[in-house]
Amino acid sequence: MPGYFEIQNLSVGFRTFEGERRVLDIERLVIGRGETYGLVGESGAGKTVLALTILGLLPKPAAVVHSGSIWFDGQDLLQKGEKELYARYRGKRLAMIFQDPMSTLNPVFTVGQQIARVVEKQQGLRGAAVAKRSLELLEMVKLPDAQSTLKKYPHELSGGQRQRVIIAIALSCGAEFLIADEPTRNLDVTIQAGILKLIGDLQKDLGISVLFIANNVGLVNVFCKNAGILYHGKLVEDGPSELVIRAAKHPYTQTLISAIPRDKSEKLKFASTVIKPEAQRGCPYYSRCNLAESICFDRMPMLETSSSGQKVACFMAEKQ
Amino acid sequence: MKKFILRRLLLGIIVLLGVALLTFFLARVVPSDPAAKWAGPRATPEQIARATIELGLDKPLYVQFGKYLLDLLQGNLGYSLRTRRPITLELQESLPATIELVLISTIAAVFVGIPLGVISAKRKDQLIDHLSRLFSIGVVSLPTFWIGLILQLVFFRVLGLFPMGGQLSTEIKITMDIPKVTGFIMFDSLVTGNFRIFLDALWHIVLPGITIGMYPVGLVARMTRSALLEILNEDYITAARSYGLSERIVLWSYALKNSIGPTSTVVALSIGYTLVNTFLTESIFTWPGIGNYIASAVIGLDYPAIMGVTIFSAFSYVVLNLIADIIIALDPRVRV
Repeated sequence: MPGYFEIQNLSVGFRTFEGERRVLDIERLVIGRGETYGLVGESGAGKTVLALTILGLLPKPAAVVHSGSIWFDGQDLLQKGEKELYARYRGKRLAMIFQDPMSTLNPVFTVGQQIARVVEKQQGLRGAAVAKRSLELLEMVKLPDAQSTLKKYPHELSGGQRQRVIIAIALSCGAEFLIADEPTRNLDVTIQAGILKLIGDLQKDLGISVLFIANNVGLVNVFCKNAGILYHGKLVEDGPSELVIRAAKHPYTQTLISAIPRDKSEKLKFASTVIKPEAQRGCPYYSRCNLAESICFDRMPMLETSSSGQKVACFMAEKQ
Repeated sequence: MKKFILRRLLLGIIVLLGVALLTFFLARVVPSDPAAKWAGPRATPEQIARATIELGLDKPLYVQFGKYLLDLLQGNLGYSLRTRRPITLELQESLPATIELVLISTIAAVFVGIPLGVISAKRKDQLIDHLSRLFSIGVVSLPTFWIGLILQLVFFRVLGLFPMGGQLSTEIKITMDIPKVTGFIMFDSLVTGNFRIFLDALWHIVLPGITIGMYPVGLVARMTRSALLEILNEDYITAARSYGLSERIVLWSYALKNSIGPTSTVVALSIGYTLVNTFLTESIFTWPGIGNYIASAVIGLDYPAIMGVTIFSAFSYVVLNLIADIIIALDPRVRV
């Protein structure tokens, strides 16, 4: 029996002019009800593709889902047709916050109109009830002066305000599973903290599960119970964030963590990487890995529980 | 918004002044003697001298220009050299027929062109998209007079479905009283309940209407398609889908409203183009409109008439662009 949210053997590819390119190959990823899971990876690792796959919003026909299943509350989302995803999941039970608050709101409609559209569609509200609900939502995300914000266009709001509006829209219809795709990526540091706190509070208040996508290990450590590291579309390390961050086993995770400056006096360390040829069949990290041996070139490591408890996909993990 | 419109209005007036200046001086430098033309083909030198004074041609150029502007302001475009009637009056008579044509082509551009572009963008690279693109490229690249002639050949000569030209059948013109309320035959006949005249007018407008409407429809469809395709890749479209909004709302409201800028600009430009195109279309279909009027004015070297139509066209361009600007200002970011 799969968990509340569980990805199994998911494989997604994109058709390009040079043939197909695999962008996602996830053996297993589990998120419990009411839990926050942090997914970390560099740009191009496949984080956003994963988010769009869950919602069934991959660009077609460029993207192809080859195999796997995405279990959500006992149902396999990948087996659902567009109609059912539209009618029963998107916006209703699954919601997503996108990376860039600057481009996620439609520039030619007021904030109020955009909230109203979703509330009308998803909750069937009309007239004064829509206005009341919109106001409630903006107050829920702690936007000051909600009444006048409703009449504003997105370009009249700051980045942080926009992200709050976006969160309000995403959660307007009682979604229980939120995908937050680098929600603070394009915001100032001070604003970031506010948005993160908001997501954290809402998660607790509403009891929702959150797939928190980030390219910042530090954020995940404070924010998430469990964490996974995505590299080239593969989950290379997965487990309680405490373990993944504090006792990283995978050389890639270690490199990521060593890149965080700890205090001023410390000189920034950049792991020196020996560039080797790409391993076609082997470990995706082979070409950049300092520990790699010939087995890494030939065979693909699978996620296995390590001595300290988290799962790691690396032949060298226990040999360090 | 008020300031925005006011500024555009001011700009329009400047453009019109420029056009007035240009037409005035062009008409003065063309190697022809307006007074001689006015006085008639066998005029004596005395008659020509009298005509010169009558037309004010003896006064300094700036005085003439001042008088010209003053007349323009009062809607007086001068007298036709051929008919000696006020040009304003003649334009008024031929205008409704042209407006009927332009209106039809604009309605087609908006209500056929835009949906065609939207469907094409929605079904990108599918059969309907290929067909619509083929059609767009076809009608945009085929010359109007060729389309007109082919339509006449097929639908009049071969199939005999539609009349060859004119705005009404001769028998109707002779036997029936043509109602005159606004000058627009279709409108007038409809409001006065003359359905026979209305149907006859409708029957006559089909071929010239298609001829002149093809280009705007093709252009608008193409522009809408490419604008939409770009917009459909925007984050806010994916986001809207993730909120569970229907594809209908996403496409026809969220995406289409964002494409209003390029689309309405093209519609406005294509109206301008249509006005120019009436020159050919009206000649081919002997349509009693402005195009036909200017065609005969050009052939008859009727300078005041040519100037009048030029000023009139410039005026319509300015008005159309103003309307387009106002529509574009529906996009809140444009209002500065």
